[in-house]
Amino acid sequence: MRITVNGQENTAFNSPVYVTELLEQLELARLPVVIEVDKIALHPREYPETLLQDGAIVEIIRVAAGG
Amino acid sequence: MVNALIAEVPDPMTIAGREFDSRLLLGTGKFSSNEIMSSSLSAAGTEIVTVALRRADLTGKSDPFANILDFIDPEKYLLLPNTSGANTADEAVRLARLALAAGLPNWIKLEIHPDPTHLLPDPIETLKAAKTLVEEGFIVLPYINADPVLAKRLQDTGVATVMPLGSPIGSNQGLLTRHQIQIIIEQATVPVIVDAGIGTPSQAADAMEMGAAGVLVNTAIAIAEKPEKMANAFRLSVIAGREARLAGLAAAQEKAAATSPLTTFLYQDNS
Repeated sequence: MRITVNGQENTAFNSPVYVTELLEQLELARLPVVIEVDKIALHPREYPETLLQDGAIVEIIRVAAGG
Repeated sequence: MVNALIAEVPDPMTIAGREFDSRLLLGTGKFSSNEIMSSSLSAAGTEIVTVALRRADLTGKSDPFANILDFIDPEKYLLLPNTSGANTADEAVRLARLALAAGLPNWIKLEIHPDPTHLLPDPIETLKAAKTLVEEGFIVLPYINADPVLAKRLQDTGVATVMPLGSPIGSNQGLLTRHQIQIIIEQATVPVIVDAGIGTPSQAADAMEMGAAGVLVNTAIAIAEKPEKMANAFRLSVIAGREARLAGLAAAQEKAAATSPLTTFLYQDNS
C-alpha cells in the first residue's frame, strides 16, 4: 500500500492503517501534531478511528514560530 | 499621580467583542531561541501572539522549535495562528481548519502571499478566503496591502480587523503606505492594525498617532541585538502613540508661532 505523507511516499504498510498507527511508525505519536487526510482536517479524537486507504494523502502539521 | 490619572481611563482595543489592554501584537518568528521569544513577549506586554503551521519534520531529527507552545502561556496570550505558507484561498482555509483541529482558537490571521520574493498579499484570494472563513465562524484578521477599497470589501464580509502593511514583511522600512493607511483608518468600521514593515518604535508610535488601533511587530524585535529591551521600547512607543492620538495632535503650521511672549523684557536703547 502506498500513501503520501508530507509529500513523501510511505510504503511501510501492506493494508489500510489507522492514523494512530502511522504516527507510531513515524515516531510522532507523542508530539503535538495535527493531521489532514485528503484535505480534511482531523480532530485528534479521530486519529484512532480514521483508516488510511491506499493512495491517501496525509499532511502532518505542527505549530511553529511565525509572524 | 499623573500615571494614576492615566491608568484610571480604560482604553481597551476591542476585537470581535474581546477587550485587550495592549495594542501591540507580536509575531514569534526569527527569535534566536524560544526562551528569548518568551521573555520578549513578556517585555512587550502583548496579549496577542501569532504562530504558524508547518509540516512536521519526518526525518526524526530533533527540532529546537518543536515545542514552541511550551513557551507561550495560553492563559496569558491569545494565540493567533496565521495562514502563512498558503498560496491560495483553499490552502488558507485548510490551514485555518487545521489550526482549529489542533486546539488553537478560532481566531485566524489570514495571510496569502504566493510570491516568495516580495511576500505581498494576494487580494483576490484573501477576499475569497475571508468570506469562507467568516461563514465558518472564524474570527478573521486579514493581512492586506494598504488598499482602502479592499479593506472596505473585507469589512463587508464580516472580518474582525483589517491589517494593512506599512511596507513589505520583514523589511523594517516603516510606513511607506501611510497615505493609504490614513484612508483605511478614516473609513474603517473595524479596528485597523498595521502589520508588517514596522522597523522602529518611532514608526509604531507614528502608526498609533495616525489612529491605528494597534500594530503587529515581529522582525524588528526578534532580530534586535537585545530583543527584550526592544520589545519594551515598542511597548512604550505604542502607549505613547496611542496617548498622543487620544490627546489630539496639534496641526502642523506653515510658519513659526512663538511659544514664549514676544514682548520686550530688557530696556532697549534706541537712541
